[in-house]
Amino acid sequence: MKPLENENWLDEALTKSIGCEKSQPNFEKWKQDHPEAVQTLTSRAHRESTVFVRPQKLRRIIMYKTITKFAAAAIIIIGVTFGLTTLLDHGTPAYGLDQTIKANHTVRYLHIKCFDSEHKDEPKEFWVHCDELRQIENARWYMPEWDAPEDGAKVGVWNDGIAQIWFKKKNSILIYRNKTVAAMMLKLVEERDPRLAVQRLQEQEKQGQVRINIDEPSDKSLPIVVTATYPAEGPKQGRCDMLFVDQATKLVKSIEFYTLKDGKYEYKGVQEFHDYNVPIDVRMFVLDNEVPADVMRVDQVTAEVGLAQGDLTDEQVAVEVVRQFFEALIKKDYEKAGMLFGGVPASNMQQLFGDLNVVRIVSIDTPKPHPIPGVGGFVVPCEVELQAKDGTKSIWKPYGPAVRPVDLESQPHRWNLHGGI
Amino acid sequence: MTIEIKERSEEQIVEAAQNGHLESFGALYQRYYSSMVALAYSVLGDRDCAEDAAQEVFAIACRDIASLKRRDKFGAWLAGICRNIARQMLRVKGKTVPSDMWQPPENADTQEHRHDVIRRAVWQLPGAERELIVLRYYDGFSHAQISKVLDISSSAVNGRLIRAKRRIAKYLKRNGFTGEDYETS
Repeated sequence: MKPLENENWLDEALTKSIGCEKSQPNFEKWKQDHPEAVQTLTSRAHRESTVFVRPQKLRRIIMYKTITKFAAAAIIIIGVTFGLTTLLDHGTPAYGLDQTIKANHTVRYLHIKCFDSEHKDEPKEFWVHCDELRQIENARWYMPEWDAPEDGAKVGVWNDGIAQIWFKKKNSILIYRNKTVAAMMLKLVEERDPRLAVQRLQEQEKQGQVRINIDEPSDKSLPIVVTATYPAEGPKQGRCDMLFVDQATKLVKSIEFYTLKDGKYEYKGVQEFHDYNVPIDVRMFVLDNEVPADVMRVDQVTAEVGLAQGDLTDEQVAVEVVRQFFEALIKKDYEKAGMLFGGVPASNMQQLFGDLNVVRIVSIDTPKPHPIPGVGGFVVPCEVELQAKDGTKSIWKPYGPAVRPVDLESQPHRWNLHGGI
Repeated sequence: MTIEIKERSEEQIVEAAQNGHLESFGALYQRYYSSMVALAYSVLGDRDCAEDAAQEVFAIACRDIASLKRRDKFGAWLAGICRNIARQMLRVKGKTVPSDMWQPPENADTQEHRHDVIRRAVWQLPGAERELIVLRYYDGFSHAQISKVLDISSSAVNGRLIRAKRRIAKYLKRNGFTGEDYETS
């Protein structure tokens, strides 16, 4: 028998040619070399034992102090903007509303889960329903607490130009006019369309915008892996996306994202695409049946919120909002105070601020631009006098307070208080 | 029955690691390290790089293990990470050809040159078959071990190995390699 026909001969030849001395695993050395990974793993053990006691207890402590009630309620308004800006992650560029005109994708229904590299347990989730013209008909999203710990977990729905966001921890729901959600969702499905994503990458490759590599395993149960590498000097700064395509359906099932850092690719997260064009129950896009009966409703659609700017400059209107807010508290006019405070209902304002006896505005200083980039508006340093039940008076310097336009889309010329104080 | 118990015990180890038990993760490291080196080697064709890749695989696995839903698929999950890491390393290093593979021989008649020809035969295989051959012969893994890492049955491992070896033999024959003067022992 010739050597090549002899299986034993080939076994030996292969062992000699590609075999090597057994690699010796050294876990102790590995641990020393990877302290961060070890820390991530072991911290999980600690978290298991502490995570369940925190929220309720902490909430009670916070709400016990009257002044901190103020801050706790005010955070509601911060979260809205934050939730919207994080719908698209992993470096997707800002999206212009004018891009909503022409939709070009094959999605009618899609459920997307976005796992962040640092938060593997709880993904951000998006459910999208598009109409026959491939415009967004309904959307729902879930933002976990880790995304904005000050807000807690949020559930949002969007339909017919109105967004509703339920802040579970705050037991409140904010209703407001909005186009951005639909625009961002549309952008999301256009960019990540499970049927067209690879085709689009190939078109981009022809234009020199990306380099792609396709690995198609002979085993049909394994996904095709399409690796898209963007130029380091381009807007995506060398990012690498790996698309996993089902061999049978040719649909993208997931995309892993890597960024280039110090010459190494760093895993940033993965988006998973589920239930492509499987109809989603319309009840998913309605929050009414989910929110508790006693939820606080902040409705910015049916009521005008904040103070009209009129002829005042931005700085002047910021001062005026703060002045009128504290004057309303002095008069116990919770309806007006709530209206200046993002539209919080009077009954809730009374619950939150009823014990805070403001008797006099001591001073209102010159507004300064808000120190956090992207928040916009101003902080307006001020001092007010409080009087306790025993008649004792004290001066309170609230944090901020922060004032900005209510909503650049629907009420751009009205200003209100937002954020913690 | 024995296999079931073994599989269950690995699932328990994975679960413990998911709950932050470092020693359990260490046990998984010991169990899978060599196979990850071999798997990375099948992509990179460079032993040192393959060792580096395997270290990185466990760093990612350590960080992300909580996200693993199918604990019985730990090996296959790890292999998926390994493939990604190895491919990234190839890209970053700008390599298109594994470095161990194409060293020009000083003397074409040497035994090392003959090894080189056989390695070429392995590297012309499709990716999945190359993984299989390297896992089998790089470190002598059993069919059962390979089946866990590649997430295919032992009989599928056997069938594919036979096909891959036939392909290698065909390649060698086509390239004038008879094996007559090849010393296997």
